Amino acid sequence: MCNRAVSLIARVVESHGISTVSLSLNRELSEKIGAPRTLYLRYPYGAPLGEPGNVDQQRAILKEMFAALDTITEPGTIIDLPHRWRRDTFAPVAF
Amino acid sequence: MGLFERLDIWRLFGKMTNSPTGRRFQSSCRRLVEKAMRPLAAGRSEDPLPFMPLEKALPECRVSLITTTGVHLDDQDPFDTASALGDSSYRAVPSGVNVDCLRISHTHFPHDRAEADINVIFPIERLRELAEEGAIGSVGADHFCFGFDLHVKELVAADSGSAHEIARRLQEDGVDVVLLTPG
Repeated sequence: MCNRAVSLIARVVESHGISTVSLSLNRELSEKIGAPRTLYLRYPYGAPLGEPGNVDQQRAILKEMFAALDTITEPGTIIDLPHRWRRDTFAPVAF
Repeated sequence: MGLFERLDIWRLFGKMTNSPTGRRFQSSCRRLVEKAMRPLAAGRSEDPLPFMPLEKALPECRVSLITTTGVHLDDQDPFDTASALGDSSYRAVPSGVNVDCLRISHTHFPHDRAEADINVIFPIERLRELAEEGAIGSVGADHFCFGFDLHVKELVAADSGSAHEIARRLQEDGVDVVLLTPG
């Protein structure tokens, strides 16, 4: 349900002229409600930015969120991130 | 013969559900389930999605977080986790706060990972580091946190909704970008 509120809040904030990027752990719900820019991850609930202490993973996901500000040109777009829970390793991320 | 065999309970059950009464019972059940599921899709709108292209480069941007994971300060009231429709209030968390002061009140996702490292649901420290590196211009004065919430009007109503209230606060603070994280 968090994903539903995220989409609703993102729409409101964007309507005030602030660019938003939302993470989603429930693609169906994000599709149903719709948000300006969404990144969908097949990660467990409670861990949208990855594993505790994995700074590289968290930075990588943040970098992808910021990148979406340029790459998403169509409101409502959902990008499927390719990361696999606990099976991918992340290199240090430079911005 | 046992009581069940004598009554032929299963044939009785079958007759009951296929009878006019039984069929009315089935359609009442279906309506009840649909009514219970309605909050899930509530808020879906036919209006076009708002879209604000970012005009500035990221190192010039002021960035804040919004999360629906029930994060709050230890001296703020927890979110209402008992009501069926949840809690449409929010908490403003100063962006410079020590993460040891943060708590989570939300019953719809496991907390263990977030309790080990809050950044997995609310990347407050990661964002501070990015500002220190110059990757982003600055972090907004406050981040905003919601709990579990199935309300729609209380959240999105133009005059009184909590989402509009925080959007106005973010505008006043000069925030350019907001990242949103679910639980």
